[in-house]
Amino acid sequence: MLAWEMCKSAFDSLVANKLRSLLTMLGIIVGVGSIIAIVAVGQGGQQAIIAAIDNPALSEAAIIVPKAILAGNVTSTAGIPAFSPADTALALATPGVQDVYSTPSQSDVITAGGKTTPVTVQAGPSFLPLIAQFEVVQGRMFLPIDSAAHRRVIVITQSVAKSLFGSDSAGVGQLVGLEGQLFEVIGVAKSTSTSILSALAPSLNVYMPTTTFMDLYPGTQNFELELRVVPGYDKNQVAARLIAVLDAKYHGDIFENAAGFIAGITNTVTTVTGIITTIVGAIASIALGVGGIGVMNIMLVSVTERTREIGIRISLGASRTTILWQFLIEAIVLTTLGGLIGIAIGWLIAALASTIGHLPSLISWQAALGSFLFSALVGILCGIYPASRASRLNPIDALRYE
Amino acid sequence: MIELTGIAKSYRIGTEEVAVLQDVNLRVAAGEFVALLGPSGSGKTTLMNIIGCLDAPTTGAYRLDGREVSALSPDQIAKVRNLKIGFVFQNFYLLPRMTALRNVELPMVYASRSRAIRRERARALLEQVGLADRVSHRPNELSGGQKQRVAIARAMANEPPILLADEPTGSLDSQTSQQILRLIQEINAGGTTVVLITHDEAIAAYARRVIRIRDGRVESDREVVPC
Ligand SMILES: Nc1ncnc2c1ncn2[C@@H]1O[C@H](COP(=O)(O)OP(=O)(O)OP(=O)(O)O)[C@@H](O)[C@H]1O
Ligand SMILES: [Mg+2]
Repeated sequence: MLAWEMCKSAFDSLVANKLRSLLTMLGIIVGVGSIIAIVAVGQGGQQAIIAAIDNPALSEAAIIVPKAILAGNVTSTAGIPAFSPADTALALATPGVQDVYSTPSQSDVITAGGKTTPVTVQAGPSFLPLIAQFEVVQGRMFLPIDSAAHRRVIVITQSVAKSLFGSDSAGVGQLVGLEGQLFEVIGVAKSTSTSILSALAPSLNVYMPTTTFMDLYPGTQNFELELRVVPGYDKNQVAARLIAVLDAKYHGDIFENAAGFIAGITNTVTTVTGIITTIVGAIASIALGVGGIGVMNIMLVSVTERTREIGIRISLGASRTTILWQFLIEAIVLTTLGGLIGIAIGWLIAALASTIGHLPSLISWQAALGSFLFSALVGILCGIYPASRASRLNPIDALRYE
Repeated sequence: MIELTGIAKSYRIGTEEVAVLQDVNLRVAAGEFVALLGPSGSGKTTLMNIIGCLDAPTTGAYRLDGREVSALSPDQIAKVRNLKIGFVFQNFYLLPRMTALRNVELPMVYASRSRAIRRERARALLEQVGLADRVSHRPNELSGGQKQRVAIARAMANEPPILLADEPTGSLDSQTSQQILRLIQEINAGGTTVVLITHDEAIAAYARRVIRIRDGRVESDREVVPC
């Protein structure tokens, strides 16, 4: 009950000096606010990057690639074995493999009715929407039969439809030109990706069956073998078995399951963004520390100003502990209030960053709780000295203080 | 109840020891109304601070209710000030940011009384001192006499057996002074021991026993027959 009374009287004395309290809290507000905002944007960015890298195809399929391709600094594909139809047959013969497909792509220019648009031509199986994260909203997706018959049918994304036909729902049934050949548009696709990056840069894609693609770009080398496994099989185990077979065939430790590679990248991204967040967070903590010194300073001033009050309280029966707690609670109320305001402002900044600046942000309750507790700790650390000074005052000198 | 034996108090200023009180022997029984009378600088306030456990004597023994005060822990002394002694000062010493009611409640807060009890008792006390209509005024909205009434109500909040008043009328006009002194007389009539400090013979006349202090010594100590 005494604690409650002391909280109330701490509030009263902070309200009595509104401007001073606010200015004192400013350091804490800035420190906590920037920590919250930075951590939110940092974590949000990390999630967005990981979501973009983390190809959903990987949850559906295992992708086998030559290690050299993943190494990054590939200047020439000479010497890197490309997959042949025989390899595809080998893969299909592996126990547990249901489908084998590849998804080569190529940059090109598409024309229709005198209009031209640069596009990425993406080949794939009939279940490509699952892998490339789109849905056909007009017309239809190509079917296995289209693939088997090498038919010249394509599905275009809404942004391609818009630039060629003026509307993102137009185009089905139209003929378009690619490499001087005519293709029929059979569907319009809409992205289903939730990644913030795909919303920022809508893709200009043309989807077609892999067989058609190989006819259109005959020289294309295929460095990817994608497998779907029979339900019940572990795709990584199936892939490992196939890799062993392929390595034996090509005489070397050549192939790799891309899933492991991507997991590695995801880890790196997490580490890097973690480091950045830590560094910037440390800088914000300095602001918090400086804010804490401000709190200590103002508490010392307050103790001096209220020397008479302390004397009166002692004469009325306040013990030294009570006086100590009174000033300590005042410091804690000051910093936690600053912390709460900082959390609210940081939250607001993060929300603005994601709506106006299109920066993804993610506010965690852990960061909010952490900053709240940290600001309380700053209050205790910076309040303890002024409070103990107040509690050690001699009542007679305090009462006589002018 | 109050028993001072061979009390001395001195301050060191530079290298010099200045004696403020010397060999003060004093007994005050429960229910008495004592005036400490003496010229300015004679050591009255110093003596009151010792009686009120705000200060410790340099030498000598002070027994309060039979217990040696110097043997008490700081927390026990705080409790004595809270429950056994009520202070009234010349300059009122109200807390400026609190209403009259909150000021009167404060000693009860330190005594851990419940809020409801505090409220009720503080109102009753303010009513007794004639300030029922001023409970939510702050000190700067009250006259000197009203402030001193609030201070008296606050001093009596925990029903202490002893009331120490240091020049309670020093900042008031003669008519208001009279009212305040009557109030103190009433409190004494209710059984509270009162020690009133003054330099004014006329004010000392309200007490039933006058102790004259001069240069830190008790000069005379006599009962006053009420006229
Ligand atoms: N902290 C101190 N240090 C040095 N001397 C002090 C101190 N406190 C009081 N004195 C001295 O002690 C003497 C008595 O002071 P005290 O306040 O007890 O007098 P008083 O009788 O209450 O006077 P007044 O009627 O003016 O209030 C004074 O001479 C004063 O200068
Ligand atoms: Mg005095």
